[in-house]
Formats: sequence, C-alpha cells, structure tokens
Amino acid sequence: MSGTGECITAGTSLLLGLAAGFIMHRSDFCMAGMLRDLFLFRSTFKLRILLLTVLAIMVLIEAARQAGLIYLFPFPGFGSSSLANLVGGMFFGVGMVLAGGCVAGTLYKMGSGKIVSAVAFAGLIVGSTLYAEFHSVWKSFADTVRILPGKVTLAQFVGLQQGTVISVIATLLAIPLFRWWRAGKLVRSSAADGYLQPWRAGLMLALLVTVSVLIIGIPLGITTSYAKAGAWIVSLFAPGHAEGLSYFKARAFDYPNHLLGITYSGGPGPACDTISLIQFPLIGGLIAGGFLSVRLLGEFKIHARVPRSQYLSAFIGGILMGLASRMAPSCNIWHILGGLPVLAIQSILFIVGLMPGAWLGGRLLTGIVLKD
Amino acid sequence: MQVKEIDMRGQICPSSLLMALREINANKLALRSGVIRLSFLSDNRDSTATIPESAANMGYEVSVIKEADSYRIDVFVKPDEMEKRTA
Amino acid sequence: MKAFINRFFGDSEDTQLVSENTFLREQQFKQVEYIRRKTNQLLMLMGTLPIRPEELNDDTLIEIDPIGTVADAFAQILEHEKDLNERLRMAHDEIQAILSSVGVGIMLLDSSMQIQMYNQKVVELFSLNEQTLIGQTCCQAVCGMSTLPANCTYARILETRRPYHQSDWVQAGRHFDVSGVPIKNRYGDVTHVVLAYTETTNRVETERILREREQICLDVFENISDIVQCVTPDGSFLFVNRAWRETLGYEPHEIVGLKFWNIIAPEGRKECMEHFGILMHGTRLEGVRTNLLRKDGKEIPVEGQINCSFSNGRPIATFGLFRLLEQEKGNPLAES
Repeated sequence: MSGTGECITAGTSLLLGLAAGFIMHRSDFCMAGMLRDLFLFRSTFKLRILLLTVLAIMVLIEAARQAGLIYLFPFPGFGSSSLANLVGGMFFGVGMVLAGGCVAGTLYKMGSGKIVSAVAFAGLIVGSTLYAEFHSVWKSFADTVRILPGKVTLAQFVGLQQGTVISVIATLLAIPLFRWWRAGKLVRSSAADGYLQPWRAGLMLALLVTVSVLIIGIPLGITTSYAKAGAWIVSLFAPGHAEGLSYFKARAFDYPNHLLGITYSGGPGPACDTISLIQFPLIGGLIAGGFLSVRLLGEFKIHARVPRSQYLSAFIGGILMGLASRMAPSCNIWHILGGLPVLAIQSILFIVGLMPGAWLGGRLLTGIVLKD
Repeated sequence: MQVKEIDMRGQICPSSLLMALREINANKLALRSGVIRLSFLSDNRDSTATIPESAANMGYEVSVIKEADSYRIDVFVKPDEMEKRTA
Repeated sequence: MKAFINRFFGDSEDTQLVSENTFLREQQFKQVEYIRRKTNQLLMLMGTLPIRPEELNDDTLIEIDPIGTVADAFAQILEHEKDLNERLRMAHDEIQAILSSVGVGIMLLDSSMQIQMYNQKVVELFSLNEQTLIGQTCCQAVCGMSTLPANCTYARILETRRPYHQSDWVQAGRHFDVSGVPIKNRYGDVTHVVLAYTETTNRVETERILREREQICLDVFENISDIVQCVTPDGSFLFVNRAWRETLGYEPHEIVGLKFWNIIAPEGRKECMEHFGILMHGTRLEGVRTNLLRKDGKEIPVEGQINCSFSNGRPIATFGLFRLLEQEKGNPLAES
C-alpha cells in the first residue's frame, strides 16, 4: 500500500493520537476515572466535563454535516443496535475500572511511564484475541437479540431530521452546562506544571474527533487493532489455528474516503490493511503523546511501585476490556466521543451498559482487589 | 522562619494529602505563630491541587514551585496575617 | 470408629474455625471500608479530592488514623472560618462607621432594588422608618411609589451598568444630587448599587434668589440713562448697558472682542491706562473725565466714577458709571 491518501491517513491518525495523548495527560482526562469517581466518591466533576465534550462534538459534527462536509452518515462502523451492545458495555465498564483506565487512558498513561497501564495494555491484546475463540457464538447471540433493525440513529428511530433531534438534545444539555459554568463547577484549581483545565481539554478533544471525521471519515477508534495485533501473534505461534478462526477473516470497515480518494477496507485479521493505517498510528500517537507531555514537564519516571493485586486487577481488567470491545463492539472512545454525539443507538445502549458495569467494577475493586 | 521539610516523593500509600494534613495538624501552633514553614516535596501531580486546597481552607498561605521532576508545596502563615490574628 | 469420630469432630472444628475466620475478615473489611468511605466523604466536604484506593491500604489505615487527621483538619478550618467571620464583622462595623460619619445619605441596594444597608443620614433626609427599612425597595421607602419613577437613578444604573450622577433630582419639593455606582460580579452582572444623596435645597433656593436679584440689577442698569460698563483686567467688556450701546452705537454682537481702549479717544488713552493701573490696586476713582469714542469715530465727553471688585485678592472686573458731559451742560437741573 502506498499513495498520498494512505500517507495522509497515517499521518493524520498519528498527529491526532499525539495531540490526544498530550491533552489527556495534561488534564488527567480519563473516562475510567470519570465513572470511578462517580461510583466510589460520588464526585461528578469529571462527568460534567465529559458532558461538555460530548456537546461540543455534537455541535461540531452536526455543523459539519449541515455544511455538507461529511460524506457518509451515519458513520461507517455504526450499524443496527443489539442487546449485545448493552452487554458489551457492561463488561467494558467492569474492565475499565479494574484496569484503572479506559482504552485511551491506558495508552497515554503507559506513555507516561506507568507499568500497571502497560500490563492493562497487554490484557487488552489478550482479551481482544480471546474473543476470536467464541466470536461465532457471540455473533449468533448478537444477531438474535438485534433490536430496531435498520435504525442506526435516534433520529431515524423517531422519524425526525437528524438536525432537529440534535438541536433539541444539544439545547437540553447546554442548559445545565451553562449553569455549571456560571457556578464555576467546570473549573478545577491545580498548581501542577502545565496543567490543562479539563474543560479546555474536552473542547480540544472535540476538535480532534471532528478532524478525524472530516479527514478519515470516522471518529477516533482503536480497538480493532488490538485484535489485529493479537491475531498476528497467534499467527506467529499457531498459524493453523489463526487461519481457522473466522473472526480474523471478518471485515470491520469497508468504505470509500471521497476526500482522500481511497477505500478503507480491513478487519481484525493479522494482515496489514487500511485499518492498520488508521489505528496503529493513533495508538502510537496516544502513547507518544503521553510520553511527550511528561517528558516536556521533566516528570518522566517509571512508576512500578503499585500493590501486586493492582497489577493482577489491571491485567484482568484489560482482558475484560479487550473482550468487551469486540463484543460491544468497539470501545468507550468510539461510542462516547463518536456515537453518542450523533445519538447512535448502539452507543446509547453501550453507555447504558457501561454505567452498571463501572459500578460493579468499583465494587470489585474495593471488595476484592483492595481486600487483603 | 524555620523550614521543616517533608519528603513524600515516590510515596503512593498513605496518600500525600493525608500525610500533609497530619503534619499540618501536628505543627499547628508553630505554623500559626509563624515559627515554622512546612515544605512538602511530592512527585504526585494530584497533590499540587489537594494539599493547597485543604491548606487554604484551613487558613494558610500556600506556594507551589516546580523543582526538577517534583513539586515543593510550602504551607505557612503570612506575617501580616499573624498580626491580624494576634490583634 | 475412632477415626470416623475424629474425622467428624476434627473436620467440624476446622470448618468452624475457617468460617469464623472468614466472618471476622469480612467484618474487618466492612469496618475498613467504612473508614475509607467516611474519610473520602470528609475530604470532599473539605473541598478537596478523595483518596484513591491504592493511596490508603488496610495496613496503614488504622496507624495513620485518617478520620482523626481529617477531623483535626476540620477543626482548623472551623477556627479559620471563625476568624474570617470576626474580621468580616469588624469590616462591617468599620464600613458602618464610615457611612455614619459622612455627610451624605448612603444606601446599598440589591439587584431587586431592596435596601441592604443604609446610614443614619439617609434616614434623616427622607424621614424613613428604620424598623421596616431593610428589605424594602428604595422606590417604596424614598419615593413612596410601588413602581420605578421616570427619572430613577437606580434604574438607569441597572440598565447601563455604569455609574450615574443626577443633579437636581426633586422629591417632595426638595432638591438632591444623586450619585450611584454599580457593584458587579465576575460576569459583569450588577449585583448591588450604592446610592449617595446630598440635599441641595438650600443651595438651589439661594441660587434662585441670587438670580432674581441679578435680574433686578440688570433691569435697573438697562433702564438708567447713565453709561454703565464692566471691564475685565484684560480689557474685555463683561457688561454694558443699553445707554452705553445706544450712545456709542454698537450692536450687542459687536461688543464681543472689543477692548475698552477701543472706545477711548486716542488722546485720553494714556491717562486711561494710568487710571486702570490705579484701579487694579484697589483705589476708587471719582470725577474721572474722558472722551469716549463712538463707533462712527465721534468723541463723546463723559464724567464718572470707577471702582474695581476683587476676589481672593485678585481683580475680577472694573465697574464704571459715566454721565454725558454735553447733556449735563444742556440740562438746566444739572446747572442748578
């Protein structure tokens, strides 16, 4: 594969990942922490910031769509909803809290030197690969519990224009956000060097997601590549077995990019395809972004002094996240920052499952991991 | 003013916030009378928010300075504040 | 048989011990979790972030006494709040003393026009009932109206969000100067308005009387046949009467820019300047004779007296009263 379109894709993904990793590290923007803080400490500050981010993406993407800048809508990768989205979300929530970071959080924290995040990262690859073993069973289940066939977005379900529904939802979200802003509840004091206020980080991330949609055609998403990496490892050690797994032959994306004049096509198999072009640079960028941020601050350190139980928790959490990201399918970044702003029903169901999953994860964390 | 330095770098448990609160409580009288200034060294970014927030609520002045790869968080009472308290 | 009995009792005892142990561990865990939860609750109440689970494990939990530590911190917070309250109370008393000592009526109104603070002077000015003043709206208390009056200073400030000064605001026949300043929050919204009232009724009355008397004087000068002029130290005409204008032939608009030496005949100018110098030293001149120059160049002999008025030792203007000499010669009454 070679060509301008491919280079732009890889370059854009890398830059987006770098920027996202940097921003997230500087503002400690981790969705796992957002939900964990809610359930463990009843703290809603980070959730308010997430709401702001979602609203910003909602407005930006709708504006781009109205301006005719988005060629494919709903985005490729979003399909009809199924209860599998909800179940996947729940498992993802458990895994996320046990791992101590979401998919993106794991990456930027790994880049900043946290060994426990590297362990979670390993778990993600293991989990994503394990899924291949029962993909056919899960797929049958997912197909059986499919709901609202043919309806991808909430607007399609209620039979209204996307713009109308987005306007209403955005207005409803803007009201509490305005009140919180006036009450100073979107700002947190910190004297840490280079600290980026989370609300600023949220708006910047919204911009990055929008750029991804405009140039690459889809929101940020990385978890198919974990399966790809796992598939590659399996194919090294057990090529026959890898060959026999139907999941590795599946196609995750198959859509044309009119802007760049190329077609993205590929899946979780070990082959290097256009999915690799999109996601591997993004993953690399997120890790590098976290590293760059901490390096520029002069605070890079290998953090390994964590209780052993937390390493185990991170690994198991990573496996669960990896599994869940294939079951749902996809991860919190894809659904919360990509699907939710366009009111994709899959993403709404994912988040509905994510909440009790995160609660359960919190209970498991305090009930088992921290218990002597 | 005497400076009492507490090095919390590399420490995860117990939390730097609790350690700082303990030191502030234990040195309350000396702090309030301006005899000492507590200087916490921490490499935990969160502590640059939690310790100043708590100390400020307790009526102390706080300064946070970046030193190499860690932070020096000083807790003290300003001289004119001491005069107001003794007046 | 023995083995069976041993196994039966032995296993039971072991099982019992294990289950007791498990129960005690569960209890301990619950207690530890309670301490951890309450510590975080107190920390968040203090206004800071809670402690992450990895930052406080069971081994150090009891030793470090987190609830005790946070409780002691709370005690300091309460002391600090008490100290702040005391200082606020003192500041409030100081402000009240300042308000009481100034000679103007001052009121602090909130964004609903309700009176929050006032000084004694405003009570005296408007004969207000102090019992019900706080919380009453300014228009009710001062203007005796339930709605905003047309020229309300408060309303103007709320609208423009800028300070405003209204001179000569009239209320129940009395005159006031009203100044108002808005107090804004960090978003620029007006949260309070400070109004200052100064009664100017006496001054207004005095000014009115002075204006009336000035008018009477002007009428008198306009109607007498003698020439009257007021000249400033730089020679400009401050005032001339009708007789002056008619005698010398100048229209009112032609007097602007005219200097007094322009109306003195050339041969008399030197003496005139000498007289002017004497006047500036405060001497009154009687029986001064000179020739005034008409606009058409004709000389008019006059005789009169001149004096100079001073303010703070500085000359303000000369006042001259002249009679026509030719007229006097022709007047049989004047000769007798």
